[in-house]
Amino acid sequence: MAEIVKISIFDLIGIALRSFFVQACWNFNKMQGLGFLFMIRGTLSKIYKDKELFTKSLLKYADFFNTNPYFAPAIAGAVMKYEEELAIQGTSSFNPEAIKASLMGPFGAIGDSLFWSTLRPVISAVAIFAALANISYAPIIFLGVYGIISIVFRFYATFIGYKYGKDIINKISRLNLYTLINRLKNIMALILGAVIPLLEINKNFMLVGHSFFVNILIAFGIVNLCFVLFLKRLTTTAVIFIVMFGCIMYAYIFPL
Amino acid sequence: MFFEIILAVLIASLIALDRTAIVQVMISQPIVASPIIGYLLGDFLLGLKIGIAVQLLWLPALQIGAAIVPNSSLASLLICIVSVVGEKLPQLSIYSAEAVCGIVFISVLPLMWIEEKIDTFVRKKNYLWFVFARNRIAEGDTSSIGVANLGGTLFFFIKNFVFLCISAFFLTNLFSIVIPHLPRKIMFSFEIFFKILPLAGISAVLGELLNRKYYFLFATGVIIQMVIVIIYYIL
Repeated sequence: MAEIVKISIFDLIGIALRSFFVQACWNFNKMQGLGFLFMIRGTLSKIYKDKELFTKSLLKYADFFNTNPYFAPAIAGAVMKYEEELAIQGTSSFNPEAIKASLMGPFGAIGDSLFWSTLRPVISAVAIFAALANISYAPIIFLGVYGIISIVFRFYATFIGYKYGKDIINKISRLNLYTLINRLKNIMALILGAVIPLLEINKNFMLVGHSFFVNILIAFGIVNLCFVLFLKRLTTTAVIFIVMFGCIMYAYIFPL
Repeated sequence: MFFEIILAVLIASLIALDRTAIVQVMISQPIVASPIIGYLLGDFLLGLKIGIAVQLLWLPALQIGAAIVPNSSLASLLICIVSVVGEKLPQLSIYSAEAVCGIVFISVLPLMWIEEKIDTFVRKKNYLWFVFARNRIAEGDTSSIGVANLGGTLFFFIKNFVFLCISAFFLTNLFSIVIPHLPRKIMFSFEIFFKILPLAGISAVLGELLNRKYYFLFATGVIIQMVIVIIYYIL
């Protein structure tokens, strides 16, 4: 009888650590496919002692994979739960390949909204606010807060993925992430507003040598003007060029 | 200057890998990457200023799925290298650093378009590593997965290094010749331009990442901070 090997806490840590390389070979055809293989290879080799079974199992996953990189270890954890069942019992309660395919879409959407569209901008806004308030270690604030959250999340995701398997999507949805995202966006809007007066008291970004109130009014006017341009669906590059031409006109109209 | 640029480009190329390829703790974000390079080259503050402007402007550009968006990390790193190195050149040291930054910033925009094309090319070629790994697994060699996976990172690193190296040397030499011949008013306009960039960036975040429903909160933020600033100065 084949030796039964269960997945240990160290195997899950290994998956989480390897998930830092899930996008290392990103390509248009299979996206994170190779990264996913890299994530699960070590643990699969442990549960499948038979080399043929191990190779067969790896080839099964040599396919398309794409999700949010921070949520990728959660899927790997869930897949490994069912692969472990398959290796031990010869059958599993759910098809691990189907789990992989069904989780990557929802996790991609949740992860991108949470990390790329919310956490990164919010923490950026906080760091920029800190930098303008003359806190010179503002970049460390960004790196520390975002880095810790993302690293801890990768490990947490691996563990809950393995623990809950396919039910992980229910567990994640119960976290009510969309309410959290909305609240964080409210905070971000407030901080972005607060950045404008800080820009105008910071000697590096102060617009012209007028009084604080005049500078604030000018700055607020520029922000609103650009805001309208963005609402008209102009690209960032187009807005930058418009601002540049505006500045050249200003320099030629008003004396130095 | 030569070794300074090479060293900065080498470190910048490694930092830029964090953006989409490996680790992703966001050390590659302009607000972090630019001050690091600025510090290494001798002007942390200028690096931070560039980081703030670029971070805000390209915060809404999300690299999701197969989308290839302007690489704000490489843009900020390039602007920082060229501006800080330029600051030390006798031809450019007489000009305001912000004005030089403004000119470098606008010149980097077309280069970002070229970088997007190179990035797309690399991401197409990375499929070769996948095919290599799959074939080796089928032959029974599973150890090649790690090598193939890191092979993709090597492609990304080479792309970053070559792009930054060529662009940094080209722009530094170009501006050391061109800027001394520019009229004073143009230099003044680029100084203002650089100072306005964070404001345009705030609009970009407001217009593209948030939307109209957050405008009230944004305006509230302006008023609250104005009151805080006034109280701070009165006290």
